[in-house]
Amino acid sequence: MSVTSGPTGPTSDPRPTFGFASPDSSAAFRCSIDTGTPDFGACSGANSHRPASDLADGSYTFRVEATRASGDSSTATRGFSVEVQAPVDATPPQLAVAGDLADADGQPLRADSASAQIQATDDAAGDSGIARIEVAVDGAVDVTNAVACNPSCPPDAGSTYTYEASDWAPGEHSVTVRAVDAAGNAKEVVLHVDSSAPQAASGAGTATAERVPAASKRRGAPQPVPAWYMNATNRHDLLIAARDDACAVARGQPNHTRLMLLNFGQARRGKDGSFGARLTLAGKYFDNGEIFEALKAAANRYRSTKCHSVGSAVIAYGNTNNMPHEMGNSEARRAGRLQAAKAHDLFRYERQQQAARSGGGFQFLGAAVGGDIEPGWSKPRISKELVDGANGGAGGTYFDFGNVGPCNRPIQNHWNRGDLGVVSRSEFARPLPEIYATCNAGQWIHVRNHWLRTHSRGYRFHGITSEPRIAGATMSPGAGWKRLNRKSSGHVGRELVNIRYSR
Amino acid sequence: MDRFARRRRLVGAACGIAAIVFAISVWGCGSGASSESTTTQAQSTTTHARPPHRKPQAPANPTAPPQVTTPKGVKPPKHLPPLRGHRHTGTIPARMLGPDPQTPFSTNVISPVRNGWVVSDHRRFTAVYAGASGSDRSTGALAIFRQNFIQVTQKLKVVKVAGAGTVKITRAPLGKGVETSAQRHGNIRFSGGRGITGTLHLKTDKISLG
Repeated sequence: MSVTSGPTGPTSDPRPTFGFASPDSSAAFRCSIDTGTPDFGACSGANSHRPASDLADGSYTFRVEATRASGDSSTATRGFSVEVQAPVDATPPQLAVAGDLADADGQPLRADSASAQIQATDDAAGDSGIARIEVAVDGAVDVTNAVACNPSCPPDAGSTYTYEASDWAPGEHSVTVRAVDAAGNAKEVVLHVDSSAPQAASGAGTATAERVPAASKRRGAPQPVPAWYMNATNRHDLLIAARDDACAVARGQPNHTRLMLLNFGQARRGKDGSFGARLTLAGKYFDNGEIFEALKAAANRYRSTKCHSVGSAVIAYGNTNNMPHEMGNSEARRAGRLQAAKAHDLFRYERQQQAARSGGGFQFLGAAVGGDIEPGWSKPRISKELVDGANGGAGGTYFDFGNVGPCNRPIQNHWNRGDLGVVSRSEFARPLPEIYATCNAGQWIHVRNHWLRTHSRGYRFHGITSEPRIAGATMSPGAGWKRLNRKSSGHVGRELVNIRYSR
Repeated sequence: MDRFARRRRLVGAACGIAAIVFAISVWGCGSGASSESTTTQAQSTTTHARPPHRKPQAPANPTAPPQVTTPKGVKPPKHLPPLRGHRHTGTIPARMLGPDPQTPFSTNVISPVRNGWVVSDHRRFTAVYAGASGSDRSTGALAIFRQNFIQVTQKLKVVKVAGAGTVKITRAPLGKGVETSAQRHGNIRFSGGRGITGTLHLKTDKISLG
């Protein structure tokens, strides 16, 4: 006697069919499907059995008893379980928020009215689907958007919804966006906006005069220092761009700029063994000779067209951003030495030109090497090797944009405060910490204090680097400058590096 | 009486005009010295406005940047008309960057960076970098960097997708022939965590989800 077919483990069929057979063809059969105690009755077929109604979810035993003509009987059994109900959805939905409110998170709200586009999804296997989306302002639910399929959403339900609000009361507000699925799981995104001083929405990041330089009109406030990213795909374009861009950017500044950063990208070794830099934007490599020609073109233009009616200027080049994973420490050191040599050459060239031509509105042009020395981007110690290489050669002056990483993480790439102090020390560098949030000032105060404890010479900041109203920035450039200046007892210069500038 | 009165008014007016002309000529003659004086004063003011330790030690190397003061004998700032740049001869066909492309941004702005997209025609350059906000990795960030070679401007815009996690570009216009159109009204598709998708519209720099 044996059970020949039918489920042996879990089955989603609430009415499974079992087959059985006996070597004695004259045997009579009785069947039972039970949860422990046999309850035999007639089988539904001659050699098979199917329950008359759906079985509830649970574990069962199928039994078949064969009774021969002699009165002997034998029984065969098979265990199985019925699992028809879907598994419970314990996963919260996915929720994303874009638009004005998301862009303004942590920052001032730019306009009286603002919108947010909301997408909620809950469509993975076993998910129950979105039931509703709620938007609460300062804890009070403002809008509930019930999805049409509520309360029983199909598994592939998703929802997008646009929330719009106007007439924000002045002050800080929290906006809580909440998505709830049919199983009751919820996901929240909380945004914080400040509508204390609503301002007219501006274009897509268009630089306007009141943004950065406004503070510069006051005594003691930061002065803008434009950082211009050189961009060219061939030597001709590089020369033309250097010639025109530096002067044009300088003349676009209020009161004209005194300090100009021409960013030629990351120091690199070329395929031909030369050293130079790869432009960050175009991704094109130029060797130091080509860069030097471009720097001379920029310097000549400065003089010949009187870009500066007043003041002095520096052309800085070089950039250690995201430094050379393809260069080793010794190569980085050599790159720094060669870069410094070119800066020295440019300095001498400019001195000769100015000696030959007296007068002119533009008094002095210095060359600096390096810039944007950020441990946040750099392979450990590579930037320091670059700096050491330059200092071991002709010497270099560095513009340190000073980003040591986001506030909630330690200084990146295993840098320590001592190395940062060395790289950014005032003697050879111009520490220009990036101050986007309160903690950034604290990070750099630690670096400065460490330096002061271990060295006899002073350490002062030449200014800050900051971007107004940008993702991750919760402080305005003016506020950032003031905080660093206060924390360092007034040892902060007035330079404010920014890739935006006024035209 | 009227004739005398008119004559007195004419004489008075003539004297007034003469006085103004004289004043202008005196001011004009002295403008050079005055300008220099003003510059010197400005320089002095600037120096006083600095913190006590504003003046660093003499740099050990000759490439050290100079003090950013107004030099003597130089005229005060005057507004010069902005200059224009030139068309570039080269272009960059639209292409994807990444993974972990180099960007002109701080890690505070966008970090990590998953990938990017770049294109330039003879007049403009546009790059889009996709990743997460440096201060909150649960927030996706798309950073748009533009340069205008003619106007010599560069602009930065960051749009965020709160809750999406690190986003990456999944589809964008590619190749030659789209260098101009893609910058003006290209659509960049991106995806985030667990099915979040969206499109960045370069025409408006706005995002639509879904």
